[in-house]
Amino acid sequence: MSTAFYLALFLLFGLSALGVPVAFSTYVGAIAYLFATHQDPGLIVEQGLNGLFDSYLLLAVPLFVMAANFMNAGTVSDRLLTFCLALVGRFRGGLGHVNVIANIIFAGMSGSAVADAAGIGRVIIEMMRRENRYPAGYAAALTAAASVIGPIIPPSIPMVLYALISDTSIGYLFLGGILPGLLIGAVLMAMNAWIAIKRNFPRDAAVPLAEMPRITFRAFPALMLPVILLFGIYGGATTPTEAASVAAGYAFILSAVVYRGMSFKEFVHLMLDAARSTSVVGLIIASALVLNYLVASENIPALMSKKILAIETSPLVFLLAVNALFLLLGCLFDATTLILIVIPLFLPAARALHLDMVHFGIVMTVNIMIGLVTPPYGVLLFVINGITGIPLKDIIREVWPFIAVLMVALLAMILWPDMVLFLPRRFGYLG
Amino acid sequence: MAALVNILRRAAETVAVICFTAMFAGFILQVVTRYVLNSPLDWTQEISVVLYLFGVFWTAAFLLRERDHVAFTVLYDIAPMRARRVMAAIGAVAIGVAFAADLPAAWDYVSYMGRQTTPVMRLRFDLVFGIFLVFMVAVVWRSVLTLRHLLGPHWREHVGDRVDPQAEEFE
Repeated sequence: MSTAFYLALFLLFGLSALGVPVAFSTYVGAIAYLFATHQDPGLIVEQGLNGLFDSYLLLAVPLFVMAANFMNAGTVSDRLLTFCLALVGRFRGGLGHVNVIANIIFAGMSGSAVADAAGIGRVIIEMMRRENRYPAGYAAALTAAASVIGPIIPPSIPMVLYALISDTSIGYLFLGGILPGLLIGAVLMAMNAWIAIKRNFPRDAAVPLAEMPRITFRAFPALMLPVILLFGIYGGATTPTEAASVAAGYAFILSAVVYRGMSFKEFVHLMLDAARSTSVVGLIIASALVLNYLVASENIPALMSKKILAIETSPLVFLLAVNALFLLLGCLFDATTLILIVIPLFLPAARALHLDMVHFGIVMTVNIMIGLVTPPYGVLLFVINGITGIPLKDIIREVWPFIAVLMVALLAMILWPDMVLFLPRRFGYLG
Repeated sequence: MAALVNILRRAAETVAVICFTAMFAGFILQVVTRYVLNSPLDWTQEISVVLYLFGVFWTAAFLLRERDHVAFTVLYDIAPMRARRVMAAIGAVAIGVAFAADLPAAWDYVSYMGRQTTPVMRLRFDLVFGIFLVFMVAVVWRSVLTLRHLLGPHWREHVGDRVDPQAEEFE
């Protein structure tokens, strides 16, 4: 690696440490590199913009953001929660189970953990806090942990970003996330059940069976969205991007026309919000594409594979080490940064060791999503603290058991790749 | 002055909303013509991509606030005011200098792309990519403003504790 490349890395990480937005730190590092190596500085436009122009898949990001925004604006969340309450409310710690189940269903329509926490998460925390039935910290901690499921069960914005950066099929990645997402739901429910018995949390009144058809009917249009999405993509009918637009269109019609929960003013506000988050992500992607050019022009993939093969580490040891490192990084860094800026540095080594790119992608996504709930920098903790006012220290005190089971689930995915790869293989993946 | 800034911001917001709404509409049109009417239009995909590119950099140039960006602020948040002033100033200088230095080469590349057009709608690429130059100029301009603010008497306002972005967002 050249001195210029070290200079770029120094600027990237040094400026980031000072609080400079990651996209700008990356640009500054890249620009310095191009000047130092006497290359054309116009490459920052060429690499970034041509990359964006060719990545049709990326357009799924704003569409998924819109879909989740529309869903949250209408009364969709309430209807879904009533449905879940009828399903599992009767057990001890029932609302905790409702929380997880609702997040699993919502995960099938939203691709972002933050959208889930801010949307359905906010509603369910209110339910759990009514009459002070659950401690505030517990309600918030469980909600944060359950939001992690959102981007693991398809659709998933982080997986779209990983697909882009690693050239992996987004269809197989989405399929690979389904079983791990359900596993995470199961371990969270198990932990909730255990704590509920230990701390004697309440049950909710059982909903009479005769009520079920009405409740299901009310929630039915919302429940159909994940079905439409999956059919669109795996029936081979639509591309993932088109499926995302169908989801956004469907959510729009549900909220604006069928349930009449969204005004024009609100629509404008939501679009502006979508514009902002899309722009933030788009900017990081554009800068990451330039960084990828640097990595390639330094011939790092070849260097890495040589080094890795020289150490003779086994793929499993490598995977465990990378995961330990990313769990640490996840305590400090944001998910988008880790996926777009840090993962590409490890991809060459992963390829050299012949790791399966779908398995690697799912494991890393789960890992980085766990980072969203690990203090001190856990975005989901901040979001829930921001919208509910529940003190951070209460949330953090209650979140540890859930982090523990999430890590157990992650370890299981690392050790048994079949859990991730079973569904993709059933649909023709040759990995 | 403040009123003018407000009007400009409103205008910029309207452009962004129209841009993303049009992108969304373009997709719906594409899906409907392809799967319902069975006679797909060839330009919907391209216009969506162009609108996406434009929307990303337009929003980044005029609408993103410092706190909207993804940044690692753990150290900044625990630093005392004076240190924050230095950190913010180093950042502003680095960004401003780098983007200003790159601007001529970026301009060259974008004008060079004027010879090529997009495959379907035959839009000249310099017009499509030109928004990136607007973004770069806005970045340089904002760095200058930030630096001036930091060197002036009211620098404490700039580095004061930020409002929690999420809390404000969801009120």
